[in-house]
Amino acid sequence: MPGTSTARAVITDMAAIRSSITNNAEARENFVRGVLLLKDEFLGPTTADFGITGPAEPLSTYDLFTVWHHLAMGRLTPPTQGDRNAAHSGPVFLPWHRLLLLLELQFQRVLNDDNVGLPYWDWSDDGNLPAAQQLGATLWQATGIGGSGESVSDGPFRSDQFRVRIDSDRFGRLRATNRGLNRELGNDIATLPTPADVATALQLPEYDSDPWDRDATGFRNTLEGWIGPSGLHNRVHVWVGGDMAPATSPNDPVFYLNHCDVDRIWEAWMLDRGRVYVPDQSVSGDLAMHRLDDAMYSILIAQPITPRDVLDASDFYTYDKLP
Amino acid sequence: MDRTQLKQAAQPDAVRAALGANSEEIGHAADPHHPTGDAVDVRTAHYKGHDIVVRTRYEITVDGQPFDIHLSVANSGRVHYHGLPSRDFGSVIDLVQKAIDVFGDEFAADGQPAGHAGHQHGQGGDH
Repeated sequence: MPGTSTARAVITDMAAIRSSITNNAEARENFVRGVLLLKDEFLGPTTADFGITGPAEPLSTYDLFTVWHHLAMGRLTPPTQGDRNAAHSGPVFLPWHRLLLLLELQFQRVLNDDNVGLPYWDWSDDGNLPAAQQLGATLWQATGIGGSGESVSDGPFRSDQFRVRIDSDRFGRLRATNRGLNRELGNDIATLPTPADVATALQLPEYDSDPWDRDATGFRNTLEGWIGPSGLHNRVHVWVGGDMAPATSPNDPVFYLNHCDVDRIWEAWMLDRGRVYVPDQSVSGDLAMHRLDDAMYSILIAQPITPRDVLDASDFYTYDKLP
Repeated sequence: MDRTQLKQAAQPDAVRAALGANSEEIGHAADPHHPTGDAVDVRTAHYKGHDIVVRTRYEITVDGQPFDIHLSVANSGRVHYHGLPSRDFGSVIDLVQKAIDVFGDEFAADGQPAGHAGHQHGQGGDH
């Protein structure tokens, strides 16, 4: 039921609309403000609470989402294998990241606006450009989210106002740090995926399949990027590089823009194929945390949320445009 | 999902409560991502009625220092490790070379040449 709150007369209890960050200046402005406010909010947890040695340093609300992602990646499902974890390389990849994108609710809280939606970055649109022009695309300008560098020096997340406080080392261990954001755009791989790559993935009729890991055929594994020539989601991480490389990749706010686009592609697939998900509870317990009615891994939301719970997110948000 | 419930779950007190309920879990966040040392990767396949099992154990050193990570090998043969979770490699040599590129300062902290200037981490990566 519509209502109002705050002096801005914001309409509440309606689904937020997620827009393209490069086509909607207000969406970009809300995203930047939301990130910076959450980076500057400290609810009490410190590095000591996470078993990190050294002086106890406070962690921001934003940083807690980075830790959540890191921990999910370290939870092998099951622990007898080294591939599939509680958020990646398995069926739950798409629903789990939809859960993580509930960072959107934190944005709405700190911006005091229930209509704010996370924006997406349609990287395939940039993928249509020649490689050199991809590096200079709108998103990477100071008026976007800043550009490349060992310590990003322009835009809203430049080092004097955005600090990376926690990251993972070469062994995958979480540690404290204090430095600027690192990006190496186009350094490891020259180009982003294209609209044709996305269209090819959307043609796949099956969501996922046995063995439910990096070897599986289907839409999930193609969109995640382990199979197929385009790499899709994985390729975006690699193309951005720097802090988008390790398990603490949410350190770079572009992580959320990438995953919002991945979620948008999944939404388009479900509109064509139905809100279907496999596997269900009939498969082995080795797939725990990946089955339709398993609680997904969370440290920040106490109530259990399953893949089934997130298949239809229309009460929370809709996209302005689907691929 | 119930929107009202999840909006409540996004409130600071609810986030603190969730973290408190997971205190044992998060207290080990700085532990190695996966067991190291004796980690063995196991691949299985079924072919024409036969069960195939391939066990692989890697011992990696860089400049004589152990690089003690847990590798997983897909049935395609491509290798992966969680230090670089969004990519896999055609060979372990390729993987280690990329790890040196990304974590060059940590390898330099072992007293070896840096792959590049690296990040300004707060702590070393000795293992």
